[in-house]
Amino acid sequence: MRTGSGDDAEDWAAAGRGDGEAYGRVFDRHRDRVRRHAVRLVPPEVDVDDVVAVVFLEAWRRRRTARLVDGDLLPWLLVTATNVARNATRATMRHRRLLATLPPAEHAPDPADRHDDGAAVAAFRRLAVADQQVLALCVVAGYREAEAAAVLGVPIGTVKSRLSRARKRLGAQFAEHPAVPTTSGGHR
Amino acid sequence: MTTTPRDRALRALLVDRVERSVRRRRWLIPTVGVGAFVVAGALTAGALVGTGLLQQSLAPEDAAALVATGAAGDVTLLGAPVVRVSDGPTSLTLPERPSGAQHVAVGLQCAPTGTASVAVAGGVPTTADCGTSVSLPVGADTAGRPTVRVEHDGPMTVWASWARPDPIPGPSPEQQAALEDGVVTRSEYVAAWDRYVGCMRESGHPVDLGPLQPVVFVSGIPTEALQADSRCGASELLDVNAMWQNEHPDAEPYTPAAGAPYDPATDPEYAG
Repeated sequence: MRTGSGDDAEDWAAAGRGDGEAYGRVFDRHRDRVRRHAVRLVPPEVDVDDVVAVVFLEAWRRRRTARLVDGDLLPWLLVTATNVARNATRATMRHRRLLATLPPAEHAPDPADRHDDGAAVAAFRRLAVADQQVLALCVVAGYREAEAAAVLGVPIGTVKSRLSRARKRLGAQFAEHPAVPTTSGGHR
Repeated sequence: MTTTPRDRALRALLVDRVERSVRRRRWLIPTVGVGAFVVAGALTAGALVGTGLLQQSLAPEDAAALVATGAAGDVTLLGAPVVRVSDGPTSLTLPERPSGAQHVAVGLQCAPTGTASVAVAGGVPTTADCGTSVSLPVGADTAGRPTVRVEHDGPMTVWASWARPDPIPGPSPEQQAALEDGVVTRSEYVAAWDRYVGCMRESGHPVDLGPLQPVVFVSGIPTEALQADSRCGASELLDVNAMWQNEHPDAEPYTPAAGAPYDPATDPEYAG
């Protein structure tokens, strides 16, 4: 189920004019959703809070390539999160000096955030990044194929074929690990 | 989900990051004339401008050079500037708004150097560096003769004038291409500076960057080159430069990190 905010266009444009508070509101709206998405993407040894920070830093650094879907920046943030998680070490290195200025996480990760940290998520992590992207957008986050195509910058036919292939590969991963009874949650 | 101190710190960092990335500009070092106008009691008497306002008189040649010093380079001054020498905060009253005036330009020389707060017509104050000028928009609803308020602890010379913004060219195709992927590489940064230097040379204002290739280039330009700098910078350099600086936040001006010879092996942002 998707519940895109659609409120980002105005704040994104204002941020482009130097309104930092506008980007702060984008962060407020999507921080928790990006964090939940990152939990599915990174292995337990990676600090999810670092990934969230790098996602928003990278999103701003690569702002000229941003794509909004119906005024919603979240799908592009999820794509960015997938890329960041894929290269967590390298990306974290890019911003390591800034990350070092942030206070440490004051609590251990909430177990509820990792409730689905089982073989399903492990299988998801083993997929190619292109497969992760379409599954994250169309299956986990509930965006339509046309919306995923817009944010990924590919034809809708490519999204359909990638989605079909990703599902098959995910199924194959399950076949190799048959003790998996669940799939990733679809809440946003 | 609760908001932790780390969340709040990250949010503040992002807000600052956005504001700095747009606010940051290349650091200019006016190399001509600044030293001649350090505030002192030795300013010569003479007729400056016939505004009839209570203000310090300057020799005409000093006044002309003072107004040029640190001028933003992207505005055309309209009418006669008003000038005041003070020891501490001061106010200047502008003449009636001339036709076409949309901004007020304010320049200042201070001792000691630092920053000053500038507000026009009771508006929101802005911070100006000593030795430079700022240009502030003044809405059409501001009637009469607005007052410019400048706050600085110490002696300073301030000028203010009605102004009209000059049209600034957009980024060149080469600069747009360098920005297209959202990352400025070292080679794109150097190429942008090369184009800027070439543009300045063609305008009759050669820029010498010296033999060093530091992390962040800093140019020194004479005051008479400010207008060309504004045009060449907008066309060839400013956006690329801002993005490069954004990628290298530790390279603050005049620090070892900025002035050290560039070494890609130590640059975590290195991308060719």
